[in-house]
Amino acid sequence: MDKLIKIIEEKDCRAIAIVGMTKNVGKTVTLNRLIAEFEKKRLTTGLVSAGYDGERFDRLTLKEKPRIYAPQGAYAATAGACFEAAEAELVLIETSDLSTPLGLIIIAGVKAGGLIELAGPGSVSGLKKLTARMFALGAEYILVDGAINRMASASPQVTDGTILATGASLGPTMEDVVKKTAFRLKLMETPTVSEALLLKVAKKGLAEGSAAVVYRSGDTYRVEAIKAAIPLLAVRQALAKFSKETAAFVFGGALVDDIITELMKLTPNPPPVIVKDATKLFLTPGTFSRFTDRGGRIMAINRLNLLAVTINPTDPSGRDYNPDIFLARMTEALSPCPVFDLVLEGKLKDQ
Amino acid sequence: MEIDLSRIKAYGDSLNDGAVQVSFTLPVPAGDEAKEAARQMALKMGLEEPAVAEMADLGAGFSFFVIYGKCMHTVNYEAIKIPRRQQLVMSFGEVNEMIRKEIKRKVVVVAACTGSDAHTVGIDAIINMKGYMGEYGLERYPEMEAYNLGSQVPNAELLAKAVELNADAILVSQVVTQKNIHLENLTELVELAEAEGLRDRVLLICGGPRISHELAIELGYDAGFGPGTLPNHVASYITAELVRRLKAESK
Repeated sequence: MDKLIKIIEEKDCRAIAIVGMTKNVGKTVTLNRLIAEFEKKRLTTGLVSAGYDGERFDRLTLKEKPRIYAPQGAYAATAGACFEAAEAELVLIETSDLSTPLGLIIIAGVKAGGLIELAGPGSVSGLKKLTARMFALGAEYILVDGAINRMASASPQVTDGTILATGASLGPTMEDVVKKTAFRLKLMETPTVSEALLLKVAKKGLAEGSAAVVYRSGDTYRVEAIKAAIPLLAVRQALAKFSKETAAFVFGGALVDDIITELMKLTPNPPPVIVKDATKLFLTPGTFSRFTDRGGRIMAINRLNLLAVTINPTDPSGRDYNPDIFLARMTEALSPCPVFDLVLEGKLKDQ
Repeated sequence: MEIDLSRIKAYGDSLNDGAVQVSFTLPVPAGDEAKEAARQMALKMGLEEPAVAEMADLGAGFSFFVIYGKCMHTVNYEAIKIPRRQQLVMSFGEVNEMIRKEIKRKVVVVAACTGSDAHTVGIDAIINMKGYMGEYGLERYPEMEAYNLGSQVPNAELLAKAVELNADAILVSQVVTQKNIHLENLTELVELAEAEGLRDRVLLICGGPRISHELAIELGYDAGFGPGTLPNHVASYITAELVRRLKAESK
């Protein structure tokens, strides 16, 4: 745990997204550990969820789930009905205009520590508003708990650091879990456009349209922006503009398998594809590797700041792994990304 | 009758008698030994004075039991807090009236079963003209334009269609099981909408036999509707939420 806190401090991240590969991989355990560590250091924390956390039982498996303890002095953003039902003593600071099926989201201060259920907004813009408000109120760190396998809270628009939670419930075998996690890591660590000039024209293209085609033009680049109602609807037009001079395609929205497949039909040597950030990548491993095997590259305008991976060797359906072996295998496969089993660490400390 | 809500017990014939009835099947043929086994099972469950009220042979070496007993445990009802919210429900007429008065244009709803799901019963009940349980479907609402795209619609296609039709709301139906694949198909739509900059422009609503408000929040949807939902529940939500947003914008 100390090491994870040190990474957060060294990288000076203030808004941290905890995202998961799927359900039951230990997102809330990681959240609780961070809450406890920040409390020990007397740092003010702001809590919000991209989904729904802290309930006693899992809605689908009916198994008990880890609950969330909000310490005194923290801030929490949660739906009105959860505010009313919290065991922690909360004071209403302000009511947002973000609606959920459990009422408008309220920003509360924790007067006396206790259990709380966090029900958050379904949108990145909502999370962004709530984190900004909690920072303004005096939160020093904000923890954004993820939901199921959703990644959007890792967007640089909302958070400046991300912790990825993974675990045994992700797949039928340990190797499968390792493989799926390693692939997600590869996507999340998509490099930024290193060439300053190319980055500049890519940004220009997206400022003017939903997608853009970048052409080589002597020593420099020329960009043609394509306007559409949503970026996906600009793809066909963009690809139709492919020529020998095409230096890159820039897509302002989601990058899905079909786009890459169509691109590879155009040419045996596909040009690089630039996306806004890694939360826009919806590629499957097969398509991704066919593209990269042909020399295709994917780059991002903004980088996701992946801090660490936390792992959970247990699975609610009973398929558990030996924690030491799992940790060693994950550490090896994901190197140099730091990997932690926070529960195992806690046990070792207690011994 | 004074009920202590901090210590409630099951009720049978008189207050606080703790009487309960349980039933189960044992993999043994009916008989005196089976009856005793059932009684012991009930004792292990913590029931006091268990009595086998009914034993029936199920054939193939199985037998079924109904047992009465007393459960001495108490529950503190006063300490239970469940987050809950009353959903506004309007009638067919009220919904149309509200759209005419407050929105002043037709409300566009696009519905589909996404991914590999081909269970269209739910979405058909909500959308189709004839409706369900005496409530007309959204197609019948004069102030709504409802499009049912059918089953196995890919998420990206659904979003593109919603943009083309200028949809106010997207309604997806999915039979969620414990298998993560169904959940992940639902979350993918939310993530795609976010990546495409559409998330704040359209209401995302999910429905299905396992879907609740809480699960909808977890999935990232604006609302979720489970079993027992009628078309006017969905229409009421969409209309009231659009009006709320319109008012918030004009503030």
